[in-house]
Amino acid sequence: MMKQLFFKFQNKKQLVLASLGTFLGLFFLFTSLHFLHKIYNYGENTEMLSKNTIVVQKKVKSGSLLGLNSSEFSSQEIEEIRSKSFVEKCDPIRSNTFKVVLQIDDPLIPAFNSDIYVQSVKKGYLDVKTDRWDWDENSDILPIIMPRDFLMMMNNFLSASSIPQLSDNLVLELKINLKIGTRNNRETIHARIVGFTNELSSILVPEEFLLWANQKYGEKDKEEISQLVVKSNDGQFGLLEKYLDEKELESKKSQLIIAKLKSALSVLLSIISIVSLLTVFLSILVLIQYLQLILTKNDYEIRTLLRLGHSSKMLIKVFMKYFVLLFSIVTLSALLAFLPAKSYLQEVFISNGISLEDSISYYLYGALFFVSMVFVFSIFMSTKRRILKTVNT
Amino acid sequence: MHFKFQQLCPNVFQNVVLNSSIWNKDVEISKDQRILIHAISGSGKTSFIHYLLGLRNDYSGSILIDGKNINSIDMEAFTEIRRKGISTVFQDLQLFDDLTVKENIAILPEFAFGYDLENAHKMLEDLDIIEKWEQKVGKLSFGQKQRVAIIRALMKPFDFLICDEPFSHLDKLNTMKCTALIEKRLKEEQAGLILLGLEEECSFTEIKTLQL
Repeated sequence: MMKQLFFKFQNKKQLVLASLGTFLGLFFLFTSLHFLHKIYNYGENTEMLSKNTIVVQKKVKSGSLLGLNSSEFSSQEIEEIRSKSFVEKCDPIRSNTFKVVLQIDDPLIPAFNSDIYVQSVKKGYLDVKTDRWDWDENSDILPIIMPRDFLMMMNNFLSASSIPQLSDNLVLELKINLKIGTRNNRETIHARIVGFTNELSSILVPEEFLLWANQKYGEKDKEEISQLVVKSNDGQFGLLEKYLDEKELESKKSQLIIAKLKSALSVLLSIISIVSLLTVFLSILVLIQYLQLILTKNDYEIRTLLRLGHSSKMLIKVFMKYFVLLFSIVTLSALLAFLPAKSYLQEVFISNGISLEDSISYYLYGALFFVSMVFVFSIFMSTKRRILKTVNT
Repeated sequence: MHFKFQQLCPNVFQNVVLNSSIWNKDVEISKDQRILIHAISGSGKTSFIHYLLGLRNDYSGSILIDGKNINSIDMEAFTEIRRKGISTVFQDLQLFDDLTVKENIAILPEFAFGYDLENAHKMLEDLDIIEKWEQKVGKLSFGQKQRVAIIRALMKPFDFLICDEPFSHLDKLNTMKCTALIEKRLKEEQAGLILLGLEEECSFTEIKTLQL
């Protein structure tokens, strides 16, 4: 009945506008903070090459096409790199000398076949648990590391076929077969993706597998070494980069591009988050103004109820209950609007080759807690101050 | 409950010669008494009620409730006094115009022991305004509102009933009916009465008159 006495006969226009402002502010705040966190963490745990490690190759020049400049590394060149004080280790990246066809055999997506290249690097260069990367001739499953470029290509194919795109988590579950060898001498190897990489364009397989398969199905006598994996000593990565430049060697630039992309997106999302937070606070301010207006308009009612024996605590509770309920409804609506928006934006990111982790960011819960605390505290203090003022006058 | 007034005087009367049996006097009122305070206009009648309820303190001297100075009673304790110790019929009635008669009574923080809305309904019937039960108070005449305010005050528990000109807009018959209802409730609650009015006489039994 008190709710009716205080609120029923009030003009609700300001309340509706402030609630709408809070809803929009919270919606943009949740969305921007969620994606800010996800973008910030993008690629953090899925890169497979360990710290200070890069893949290098010779720069392609016009002469290369005429066979004047070889893109292969000689043993001498490899030894020279190894001898440098800033290099911890350097090894060739091995490639397949046999034919490989990747086949996806999974009900999740339509049949998919593609000729591919596979490569391998020594275990010491990879940030992957050893037991997940082990392989021998008796193994049922071959662990592989998928280049992100390949995942993006696959998602484009799915998108063109009007099939939902695959997130990292889903891809990790895919059943994959590698058909190796020629038509007359072919073997099917069951494979499973264990991670992703931006540093290489070929699928990575354990070195033991590549050595075994090259020997068994290889079509060439000599393996060509066109890429090396180099790990610098801690704090000397700059010297390695300088040396590579002098020797006209280049490293894959995707890491740099991703870093730049992350940085640009993070700045943009940070700005949106700040603007959203300001919108939320401004809307809360308008709600507090509305509360004060209601308290002023209800001065007679509050005074009379106090004279009848109602306690100030009880009256504060009525106002708190009304505004906390209103805020809860607005917050819940913003959360419900955030969920489809998140799914939509997730799809957009995937179609652009950025597969973000699916779970809701804890930044969102943090923001929700912070904004709720600010709101409840502000409403409580405003109501208490005003009602106590009424008691004492 | 027991009131004690020690040299009580509103600040505005500080340098005025007063012919009052309350202002600037030592007076005690206990809950077994019925007091008619005869007050002419401008003698500080409403101020006196506000002082009793702890709503104002622009006075010299002191007011003690059960031996405790009213100014030293904390907010929570005073809420309890207003809730259970004192019930008031204000001169301006203090009703909520946007609520119905029923809602104006139901909004009380606590009903007297053994009382519920049914009893209020019955009281309305006794005072010939039963048809107003579901009507908004804003639509009633002042005399009808006065009867609603009296009923609301009687529905509460109290040790003292304080009435500020409660019958000012009632005819003789309705005044008699209201008086009878108040007498009944005073007996039930074993409560005291402080009645402020412009007249020197009233129809309450065993009532003592003081001049403000």
